[in-house]
Amino acid sequence: MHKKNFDAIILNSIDNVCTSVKQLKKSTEIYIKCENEMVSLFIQENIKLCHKISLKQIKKGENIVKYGEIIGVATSHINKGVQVHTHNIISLRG
Amino acid sequence: MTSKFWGYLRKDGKVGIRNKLLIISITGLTGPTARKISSLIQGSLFIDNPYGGGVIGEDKVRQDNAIIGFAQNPNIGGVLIISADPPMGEFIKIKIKKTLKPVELLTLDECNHDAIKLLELGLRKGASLLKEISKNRREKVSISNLSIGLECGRSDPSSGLIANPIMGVIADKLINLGGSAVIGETIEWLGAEHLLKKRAQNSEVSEKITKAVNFQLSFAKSKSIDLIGNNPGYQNIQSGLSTIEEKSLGNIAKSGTQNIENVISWGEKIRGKGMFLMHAPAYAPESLSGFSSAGCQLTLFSTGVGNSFNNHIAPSIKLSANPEACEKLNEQLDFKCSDVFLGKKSVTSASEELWKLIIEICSGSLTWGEIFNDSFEVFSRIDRSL
Repeated sequence: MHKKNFDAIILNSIDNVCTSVKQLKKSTEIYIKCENEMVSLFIQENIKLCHKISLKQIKKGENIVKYGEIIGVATSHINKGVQVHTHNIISLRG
Repeated sequence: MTSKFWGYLRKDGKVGIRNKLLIISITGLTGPTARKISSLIQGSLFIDNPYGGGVIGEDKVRQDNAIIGFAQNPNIGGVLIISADPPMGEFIKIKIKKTLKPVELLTLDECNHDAIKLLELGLRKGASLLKEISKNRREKVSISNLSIGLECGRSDPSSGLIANPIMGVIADKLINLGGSAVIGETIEWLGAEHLLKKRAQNSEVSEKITKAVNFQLSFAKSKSIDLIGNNPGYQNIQSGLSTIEEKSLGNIAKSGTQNIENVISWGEKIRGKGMFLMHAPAYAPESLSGFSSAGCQLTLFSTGVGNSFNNHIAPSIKLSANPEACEKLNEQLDFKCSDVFLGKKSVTSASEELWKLIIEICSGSLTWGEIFNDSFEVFSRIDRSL
């Protein structure tokens, strides 16, 4: 798949979330850039600019990974293609 | 790509990117009159220490270090010190004289505690100093003379993903060419300190990083502060940042990949070359003032949704990768990199453009922050006065 325009980005291939680069509409297929690859994802919610989206199902208690590093832990079960933010993840340090 | 700019070579060997007259009131009593003096002298920079008597212990050390650091900054061509405390004024004057730049001291005592007399004498002395330093001329110098403060404020995920990594490329390049850079905001190392520690040049520096982060964390806990809502703050969360770890990982991206030479305190100078950490508060005015007193001549300041504050002594190049901010904040942003966020340009090509802009700004082109004068320096306190 070679599509120049993308809707979200991942900086590290082990991440389980991506970040939107534009406002995204629910029930659409979006394109995500990861290094030189492009992957698609069906999203279930409207997503604001710069917000995070789950790339797969994440169980409660599982680490959230961005930049290839742990940024927090899931406080509830997170479905694939939904918003990941303060309502479903929490800091391990703060 | 060029690695030289037009700067002011000072007698102590340092290089300024500006040639400002600093009017600094070092005691709270002289602040209002000193402000009037500065407002009447074209282009002078004004700083006032609102404290003075009763500042003791570590706060006294930090206060004096900051006053001396501001005045010794190479962007300052000459200094008028205004003081209601003659011995303190003399002490500061001797320290500034070490740089061989012109410096004058004016005390309220020698004006018989008459603010009107202080205003008159201050105008005369300040005007003479400005006349003298206006004779300084720029010459071509190496970028190795440059120290850059790296700041981010009102961050969103575009800062950590794009704008800060671009700053990191600049920091790496500057250090390779013999310059220096510094990042502050200790609380925003939390969750990323393992990555900073890996880059510490020795175990002592690594230990300082751990201590600094733990100090800030235990300070927050001792005051029953929940970092969520405080840092990341309300605006950070609204714009998409969820945890301090996420913010910190984005924050440290602006420090590049070089070794960490040392950890300095707020008010302390950078000694040596390379990448430094400043153990200091995260809020922009206190953080930026730490860079000025550390000796930085320039600041790179990334923002997500916008942040109009700038460094007073070390001009701030304001940058953002947020497409909405780039569209709305034409006069606030000196460098827009939303094209990189949207995949239309690479980090490498944006960093080359930013490097060119740095050379221009260092050679005398103005930043928006300088044009609007949206800046001042503040004093960071840790305790109470007597």
